[in-house]
Amino acid sequence: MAAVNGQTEDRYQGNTPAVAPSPKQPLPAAKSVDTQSVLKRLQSELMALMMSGDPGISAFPEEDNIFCWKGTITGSKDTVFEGTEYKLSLAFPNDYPFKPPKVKFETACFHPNVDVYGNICLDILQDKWSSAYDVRTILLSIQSLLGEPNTSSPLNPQAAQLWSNQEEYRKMVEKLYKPPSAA
Amino acid sequence: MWLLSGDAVVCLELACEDCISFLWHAVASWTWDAQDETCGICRMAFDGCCPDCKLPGDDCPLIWGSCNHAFHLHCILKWVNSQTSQAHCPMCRREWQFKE
Amino acid sequence: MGDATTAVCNLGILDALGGDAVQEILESYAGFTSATESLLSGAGDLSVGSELVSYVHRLCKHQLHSLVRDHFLSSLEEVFERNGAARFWQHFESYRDVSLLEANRSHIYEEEVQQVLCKALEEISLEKQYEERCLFLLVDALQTFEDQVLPRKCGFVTEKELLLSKYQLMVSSVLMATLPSHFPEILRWYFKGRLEELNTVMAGESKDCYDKDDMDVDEKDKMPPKSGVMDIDGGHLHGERSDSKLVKNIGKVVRDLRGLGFTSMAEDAYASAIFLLLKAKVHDLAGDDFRTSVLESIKGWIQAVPLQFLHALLSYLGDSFNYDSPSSGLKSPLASRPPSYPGIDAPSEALVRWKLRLEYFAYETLQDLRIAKLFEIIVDYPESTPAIEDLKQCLEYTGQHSKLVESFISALRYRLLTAGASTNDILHQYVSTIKALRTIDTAGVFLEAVGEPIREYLRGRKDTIKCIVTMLTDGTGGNSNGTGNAGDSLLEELNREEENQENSALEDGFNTDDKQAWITAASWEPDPVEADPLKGSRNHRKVDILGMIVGIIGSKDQLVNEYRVMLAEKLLNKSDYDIESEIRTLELLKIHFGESSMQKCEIMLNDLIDSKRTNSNIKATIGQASQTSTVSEDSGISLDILDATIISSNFWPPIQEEALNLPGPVDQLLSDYSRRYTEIRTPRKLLWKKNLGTVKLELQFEDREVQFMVAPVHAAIIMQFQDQTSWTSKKLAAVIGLPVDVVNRKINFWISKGIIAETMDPESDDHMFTLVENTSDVNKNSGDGGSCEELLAGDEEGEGPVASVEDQLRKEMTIYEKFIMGMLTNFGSMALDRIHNTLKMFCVADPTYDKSLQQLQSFLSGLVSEEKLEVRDGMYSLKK
Repeated sequence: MAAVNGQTEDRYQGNTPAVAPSPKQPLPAAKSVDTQSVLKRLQSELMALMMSGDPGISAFPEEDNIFCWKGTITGSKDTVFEGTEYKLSLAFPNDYPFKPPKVKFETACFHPNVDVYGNICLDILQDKWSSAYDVRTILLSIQSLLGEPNTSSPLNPQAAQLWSNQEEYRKMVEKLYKPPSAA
Repeated sequence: MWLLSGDAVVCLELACEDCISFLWHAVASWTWDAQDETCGICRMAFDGCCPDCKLPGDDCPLIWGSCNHAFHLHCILKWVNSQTSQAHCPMCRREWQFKE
Repeated sequence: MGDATTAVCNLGILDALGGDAVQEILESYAGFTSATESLLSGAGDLSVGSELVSYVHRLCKHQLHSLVRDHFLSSLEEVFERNGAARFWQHFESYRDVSLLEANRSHIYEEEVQQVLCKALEEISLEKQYEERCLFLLVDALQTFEDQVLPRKCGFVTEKELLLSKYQLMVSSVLMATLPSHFPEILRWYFKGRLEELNTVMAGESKDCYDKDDMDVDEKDKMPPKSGVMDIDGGHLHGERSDSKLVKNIGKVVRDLRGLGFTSMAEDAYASAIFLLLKAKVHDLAGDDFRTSVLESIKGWIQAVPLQFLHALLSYLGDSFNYDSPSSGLKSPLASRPPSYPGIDAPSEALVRWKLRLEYFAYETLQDLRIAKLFEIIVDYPESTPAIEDLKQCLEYTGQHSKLVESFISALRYRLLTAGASTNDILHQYVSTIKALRTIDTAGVFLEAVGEPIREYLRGRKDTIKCIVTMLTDGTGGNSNGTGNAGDSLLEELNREEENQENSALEDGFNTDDKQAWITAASWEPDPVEADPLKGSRNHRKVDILGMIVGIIGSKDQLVNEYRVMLAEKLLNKSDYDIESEIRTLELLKIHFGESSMQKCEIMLNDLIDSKRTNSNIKATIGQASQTSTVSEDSGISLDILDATIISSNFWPPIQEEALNLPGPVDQLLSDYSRRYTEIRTPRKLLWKKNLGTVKLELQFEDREVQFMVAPVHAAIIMQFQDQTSWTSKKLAAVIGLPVDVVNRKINFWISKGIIAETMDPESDDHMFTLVENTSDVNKNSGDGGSCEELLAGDEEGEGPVASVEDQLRKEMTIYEKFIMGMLTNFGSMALDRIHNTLKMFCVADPTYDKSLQQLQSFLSGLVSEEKLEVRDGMYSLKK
């Protein structure tokens, strides 16, 4: 991830890099938080997510680590991504939710704000993060990002250029789409 | 209606000079008078407590911002402290000010 | 001389003889036979002796020794058959029917048989003695002849022994050949009778002994001294002691019987009599009294009676070898025992063997007796601890533990694990079983085997968890049979044991009182996740009562959850804030189950403490003018009659809320209370749970005054009758705000108390309820007139205010389903145990996932059949 960031950093235009430089002042409160409260929050998020049943988004912690989740989103209806399904990974920091999780695509996604490594350029995952966001809102945001990219600051200029031609774009999406394998 | 002397027992008159007196032990639940049910930061119920507390209520109070959003006091303090610049309300992004 | 010449050879000798010689032989033989005959039939007259001697000598001259011997012995045999055996058996003819012996067990009859036996034995012994003397005459004759011819010293001895042993063999064979089948039984009966007699005599003496020795039951005191009181040849033999005489009499009978070749029969008879008596003694001492230890007194009795007897008997018989009596000192061909020559070691060695045999028999008998009654013994526990201790010792000796397990399990199935037994009783018996058996089985090995059927059975009962929680936490209510101390819950008891354990760990002394057994329990530890102060004793493998109780249910979480539900109900029904005993129980539960498990319960109790404080704070504001309103003052009702319990509902079990319209004045009180609450605790407010709580009512009529403790719904109903004494159920239901059928059900409470009468209103075809104005109208409540305190009438329909565990379970299952769908969405397909582990890992919040793999599998199968999932090669995935 660090290496990837190093490479992608120049591509950011105005956006804060994914790994933010350390804050100006130390954060005693956030640092002293033991993982217990993060654990509780993630557990309650999981419970809420499971019970909410939003269509097209889902996530679940990996086998033995509640700080690493796998997510799944499906392309919304009436967008070029309709009928596709993407896997994501979410890595939560120890000071979550005061800091955002690191989210990236695991399956290739041809999208103006997603680079070839799966990194996502989305403000709420960076400087616009709020501790009121959660896995559910993150996934919903990414889902809507698919249909409404920010073409002004693209991570994938080719995709940004093609975006205006929705028909061609759809073909490109279909060509590049690899359905995630089961298991 | 008339009051029985001595005991703090109220007597309600019955039709034919009979009456019922009672001592009522009622049950209520307390709740924070907030619009939301859960804290936007820790996701715990307001009527519960933040992840770092064990006892709800006075030990883990709510606090309102000038934007009228409420959080567990402990949670919003952590959020404010974690911000590098001026903290915003996690819910509405308005500048965070504690409500007077 | 002693060559074994045959009759044929003798005839050959006859041929070779001359006429004179033949004549002499014939005359001598005729004289010999007639002399023999007159000697043997002479009934004590030995005058023909010298005559016999001369005939013998003459015949011997012709080498006819064997002819002499054979004739004499066969004559003896004839005579013994006629005068000895036949007469001997004649005595017992009338006792042929053995069953008659048992039937006629009168003392007189017993004595008669004894006398007959003694007389018969004496008679036959006399006869035998006489015959032996006759035999000695012959031996004498033969010897004197030998001495004339070839003086050989040793010849006599050989001749005598040979003849005597031939005679002895003859006597035994004659008796054995003619033995009536009932004789052994008569012997047994005789010994039994004599031993019982001896027992009574000795029991009397040993009782004196006990009194004098201040109950010091030391074995050494009871062991007969080597050359002590009971030595027959000792100074006390002719003495005052009746038991010595008795033993001497018995000894004589035994000796006589031995003389007749009945050695082993006699031994069998007295052995079986001793064992019979011992068995009877064990049964007599043990009986159905489980509250005293009997093992020591049984052992004491073995020392005091049978061993004393045997010691005396053996030494009597042993010493009698010294006597120059012709009938003794001979080894019977049937004797099984090596001849006990006089000596110090022989009798004591035999005695030790007897002691071991008797004690083993006693242990086994007592053990069988106790095992057969183990169920009752455990019912009687802990009072029956002495019986358990006895059984423990017996089993250590016999090693027949498996007998106990089998017998007890079948008793359990037959007596306890039946539909008729209440779950409470079964649980109490289970706990008593654990407590009782861990004494015997400190490692808990077969306790496991015995406990499993009970656990298995309890798992099938719906109220098991509830009863367990009650038993653990409630010192007063749950114990239906009243054996436990009131106010002493099992948990407190377990805790006390634990404390004792810790205390006794400090003392190095070995505590042998029954506390010691208790202490071994209760070292149960919660799941290792929980922090719990380390205890040194933990490493020991011990029977752990709480662990075995939790083992019935499977997980402590269920137990804790049930406790929470019960605690909620109890707290919500309190009309005061007194939670002292609940706090104590919670502290104990925290020790055993860990603090974090009990967190919610702690908050619940905290709510009560808080409520009490808040309640008095609110009352304190009454004097001050309320800032917002003066409504309450208008109504004229004081807030003093309202108390409130204010709960943190997030930490309580789900509570069933019921819409209920309270009477106007009460409603006003509630809103006044709320307002004052908000004033002092802003920004918090109250949400009333109007159907919950308790109301203490006092109904005053013209002629009576009655008190009730009721649920709000009952109070709401009766208070409607203040303004209007008659209501149809429809109208009443509308006012109360409940469905008609609920009102009809709830009002039954007042009808049953005779406060309300029910009639049918013909116009509206509805139930009509009317207040009963005075008692003369109804007969039901006649007489008492005084106040009657009623228990809270909330659960008459078995419905508490708190949602049942079943309801919560149903909720859980839907949550598990969502979790399973969620993980399969993100991971594609998963195997059963991965799903299981993932649920265990992440489904930890409110309904903690605590199901078994089997339970999960059947749940998944359900989802497959609902076509939500599909399964292929053991991998589950979402149905597309």
